[in-house]
Amino acid sequence: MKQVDNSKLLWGMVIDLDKCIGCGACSVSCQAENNSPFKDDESDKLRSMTWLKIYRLHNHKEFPEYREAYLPRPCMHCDHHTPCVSVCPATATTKDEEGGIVSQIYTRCIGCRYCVAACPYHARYFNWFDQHFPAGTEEYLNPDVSVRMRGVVEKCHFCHHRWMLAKQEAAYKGEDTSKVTYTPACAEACPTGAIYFGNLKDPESDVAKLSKDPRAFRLLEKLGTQPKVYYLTSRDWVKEWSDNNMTDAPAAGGH
Amino acid sequence: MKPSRRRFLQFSMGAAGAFLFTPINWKLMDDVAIWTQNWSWVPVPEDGARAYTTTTCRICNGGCGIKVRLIDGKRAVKIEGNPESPINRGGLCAWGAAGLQYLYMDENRVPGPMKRDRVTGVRTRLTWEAALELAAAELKKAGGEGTAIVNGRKRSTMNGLIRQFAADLGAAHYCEPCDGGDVQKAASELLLGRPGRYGFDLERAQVILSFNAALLEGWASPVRMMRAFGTWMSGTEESRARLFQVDPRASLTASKADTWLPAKPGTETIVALAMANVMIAGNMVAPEAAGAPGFDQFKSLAEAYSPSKAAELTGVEADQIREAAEAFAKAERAVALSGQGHGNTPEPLSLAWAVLALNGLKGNFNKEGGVYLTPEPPGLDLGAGVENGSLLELAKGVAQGKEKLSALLLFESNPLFNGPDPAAMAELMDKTPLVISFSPFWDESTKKADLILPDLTYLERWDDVDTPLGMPYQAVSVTKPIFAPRHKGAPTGDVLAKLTKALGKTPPFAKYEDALKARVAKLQATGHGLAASEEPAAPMDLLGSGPGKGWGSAEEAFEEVAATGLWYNPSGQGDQVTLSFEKTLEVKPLEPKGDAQHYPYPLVVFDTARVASGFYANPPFVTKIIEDDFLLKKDIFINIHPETAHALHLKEGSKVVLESETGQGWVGVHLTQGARPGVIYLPAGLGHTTFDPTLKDKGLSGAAMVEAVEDPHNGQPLTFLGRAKLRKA
Amino acid sequence: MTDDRNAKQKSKGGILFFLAGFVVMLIFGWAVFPALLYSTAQQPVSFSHKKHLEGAGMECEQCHSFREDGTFMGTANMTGNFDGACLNCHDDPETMQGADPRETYFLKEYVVKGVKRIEWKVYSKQPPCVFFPHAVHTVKAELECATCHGDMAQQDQPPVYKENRLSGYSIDIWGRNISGLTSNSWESMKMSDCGACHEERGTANGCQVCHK
Repeated sequence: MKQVDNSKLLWGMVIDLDKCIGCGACSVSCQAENNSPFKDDESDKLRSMTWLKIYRLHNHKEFPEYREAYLPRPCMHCDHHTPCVSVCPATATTKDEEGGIVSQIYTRCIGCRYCVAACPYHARYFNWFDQHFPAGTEEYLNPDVSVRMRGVVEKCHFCHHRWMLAKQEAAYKGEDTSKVTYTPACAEACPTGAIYFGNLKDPESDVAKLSKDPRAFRLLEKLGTQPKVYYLTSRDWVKEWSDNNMTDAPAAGGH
Repeated sequence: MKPSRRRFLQFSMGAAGAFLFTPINWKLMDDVAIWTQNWSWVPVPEDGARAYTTTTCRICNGGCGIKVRLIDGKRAVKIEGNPESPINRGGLCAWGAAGLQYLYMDENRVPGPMKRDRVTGVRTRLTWEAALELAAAELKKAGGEGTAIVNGRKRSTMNGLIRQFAADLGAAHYCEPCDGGDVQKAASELLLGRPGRYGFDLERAQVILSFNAALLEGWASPVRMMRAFGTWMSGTEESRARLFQVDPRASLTASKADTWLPAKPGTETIVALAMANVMIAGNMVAPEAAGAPGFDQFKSLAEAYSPSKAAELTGVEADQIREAAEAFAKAERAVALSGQGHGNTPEPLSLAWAVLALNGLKGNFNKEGGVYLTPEPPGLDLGAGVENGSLLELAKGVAQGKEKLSALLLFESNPLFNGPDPAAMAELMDKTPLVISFSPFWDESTKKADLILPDLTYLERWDDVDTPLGMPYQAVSVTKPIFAPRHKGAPTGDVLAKLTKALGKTPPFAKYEDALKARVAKLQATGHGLAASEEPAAPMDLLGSGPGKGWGSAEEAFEEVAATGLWYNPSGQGDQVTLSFEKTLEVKPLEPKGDAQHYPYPLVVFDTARVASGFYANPPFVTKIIEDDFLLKKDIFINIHPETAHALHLKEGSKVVLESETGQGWVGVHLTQGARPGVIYLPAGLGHTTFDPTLKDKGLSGAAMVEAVEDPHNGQPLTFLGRAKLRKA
Repeated sequence: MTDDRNAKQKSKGGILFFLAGFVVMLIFGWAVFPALLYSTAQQPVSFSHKKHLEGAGMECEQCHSFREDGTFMGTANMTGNFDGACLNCHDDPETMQGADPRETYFLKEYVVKGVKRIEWKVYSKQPPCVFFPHAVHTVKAELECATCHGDMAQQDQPPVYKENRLSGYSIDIWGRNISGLTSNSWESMKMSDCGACHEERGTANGCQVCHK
């Protein structure tokens, strides 16, 4: 295996929770782009496959001080000691050498669900059953993303296939494939422009700048997994919820 | 040598040993692995050339530009926002993103024309020839005086064609359900003597007062509103625009607003008048308003609602009212707007009028960041003289035997579900011997229809959307077919032309596409307007700045408008008006119907960002992301304050019966501090009895639970506020 | 004594049977098993690359081209967005372009009958979980087509198509030699081949680079 080199390219996301209105356009766009199935009843949220799940937070206050906020949660693509990757016995999930996206290879997955248990963000979903596409809906399946079979785990992949398609196009046109940028389906659809995506190592990128914003934080930073998804908020109670009330200083990336 | 067990074993041992030196083991292992990775029942989407078609979303009347990704031109695999459309600039809402499910969920689509036997309920497929012949014969038999038309396509050129059809038919009853735009027209007539719609320059406003509109949850032109919010929240905390939301609950919009003014349901008009009071008392009124005729009348009305008096009546703190009014009055660019939920149903006229009056006091008409009195773009002027009547009145008349109906035609309307008063609509449909539905979907009313002449979905037909609600400039978005129809539906515009011919009249256009071309020709003839493109990045900056570019010919204009999906005219001038307060309305809090003794709790039916409540029902992808304290298995959850729950000995997750004069059903209980104590909140749009299993029989329909209040000022049914009680069965 | 001899005879006989079993299994494994594992088929049209390239002076890209977005179109067919779509030249069922009896068959069975599509059997077809961008390999990395596909230009007769009965993919993925040993890069197209080449060239080798 090649040495991981994140010095030039590290895909990351910044979600501005001040702008996020929880409309669900990101989550639905993600489902449509990534051939997500749906069941007759999706109210059991532990079994509902939503790679980009939207959590509702509130400020614990009483009427009429009560307020709600929404927090979209894709895969965090943890950069350090990625919990799912470190437990996978089948090497079905790895952190990519280039770009740092945490992959999930369905055909390699043996369905042991260690990663589901290891993920601190509940970002992984297991296919207990065969996915069902009611009559007619197989027609809208996107050829760029595999349909998953029963018995494997799936999760957000930062629309990795869009990057590959962009690279392919750049290669064809004789452009520099290492400079290719792309936009995942969620960021593309977001009506308020709350989702930023780009290269965290490019100091000129929105994500690099915003990740250093004083409003920025990450989920469960104390675990030291260095998520590549950042959130912005100017509301303290949102930050508190999101940090799961872990107020200690984040560990400096120890094991 | 005789075979023996020992020899056989020796042979086997040899074979087994050799097996290790054959490719069988590792080859089979490899093949079996590949076999297990490629089950035949796991679909493999066919690959091909990717291409995008630009069109317009038609799920609501928001007019968002979309791009549909096609594979080999025959499979649509994804809908994305069109960055070139200034309305949504690439953004989407959840419904728009799930749009392909309207096209591809076969079980929700009427596959072709069919008739239904009322007695047996058996449906028979018809050819289009037979269906049209049958429809024409039945309509002739019914005669114009016994025919009613319900037109749910009022914001499209289809509106003119359906009106014209009503005229040709001599239909005695023609009904367009009242929506937010109609209330705007009435309010504008009262205050400005101009019965027209108006739009809001939200993008450039610094202070926004929103009364009851689900501004961030799908009101008017949803993505445009959401985008505007994104703009407000850009920049530093100090430089951001301020949103004040008057709302009966801590809705998402109220939560995201800088200030939530939690008005008791039905008292929003009083909050608006109290703000007017603050402005008048503080000499913060624009001179043109202070000098307008009848200002004293308005002044004395507003004086009756001092902030402290209003606080008593509305439950909003006096300081909040003062703060909002002052922020609004003092900001360089400020705008006030009102609405009800997604804007499909009307808000009280008094509210729209009072809020428009606030804008008048601010003096922001046709000004940057204010209200633009934009005239409707020229249309085809079809069906002149057709009067719009009330469907609810008609239903009551029929129920009481005063009226008799022999045919009812439904165009993109589902009165059995959406009402007003679904029970009355059911009776109306029962008593009408012929119900014809033109819906492409198996909605409740279509399931009951005697004859279905199914339309195509918006992705398979020509269509257009007239200037969306709240738009400060003229905009006509064009929808075009992305490919050949999937089922045997036919565009209603074309069907109407054929029916008109069969009835012995001459249709204005042989097919809908021609009508659309004629419309675009009218737009082109104005000499104004642009097609969607990346420039100008901020069309608002062009507002009122003079003439735009023109096209050489109508054909040229149609070609470009159809290709880009939009004609819009940001350069047009707003109507010049004179403010008049002479028609001052009498204002009272809205009182829900029903016996307060028997049904002690006000019931608020609210629209949310996750449930569509209009003609288009929720698609599976959107229903999938509804929270589990909102919909759990088949139960919808009402929102009540913990105090209310405590008084009734209920707790989170309890199951109770919600009962009103008009209906009852099981609901779950969700406790939230976002609810006003003593009020029950029920989300709208669920409770369908048809459609696929993701939606069918889930929850309770809000429309069925509320007895509409008649608006004292224009008689329109107000359906968001009722009375109910909770009962442990 | 007799017991001893008996034992010796038995053990000699034992080796014999053991060896017999050994040899039978070897024959089965190396000769019979591959024959059983694959079904064989001919291409629907016996297409001659050689005739088209040398005889008609066509270019590879006319039939195997890219779309503007860099996606690869695969193999030309009767019609379609290819320069080399069959009907672009073989449009007249009466007129032969060459003198090959195979062309007569093609004209009679496809052109005259108006068949829209030739169901080519693709030797290099990969499972649906594989993403293979031709442009990155041929345009950017400047690999020859032959590196993976062999020198097709010289081929007058399409090879017999052998399909694995279990996995459903062509024998050319594993390689025509059942041992899996190859001496040329185009003889097999397994994941290990992709990985080895990426490793050798030091290019990205993450799972998702090739998997979707």
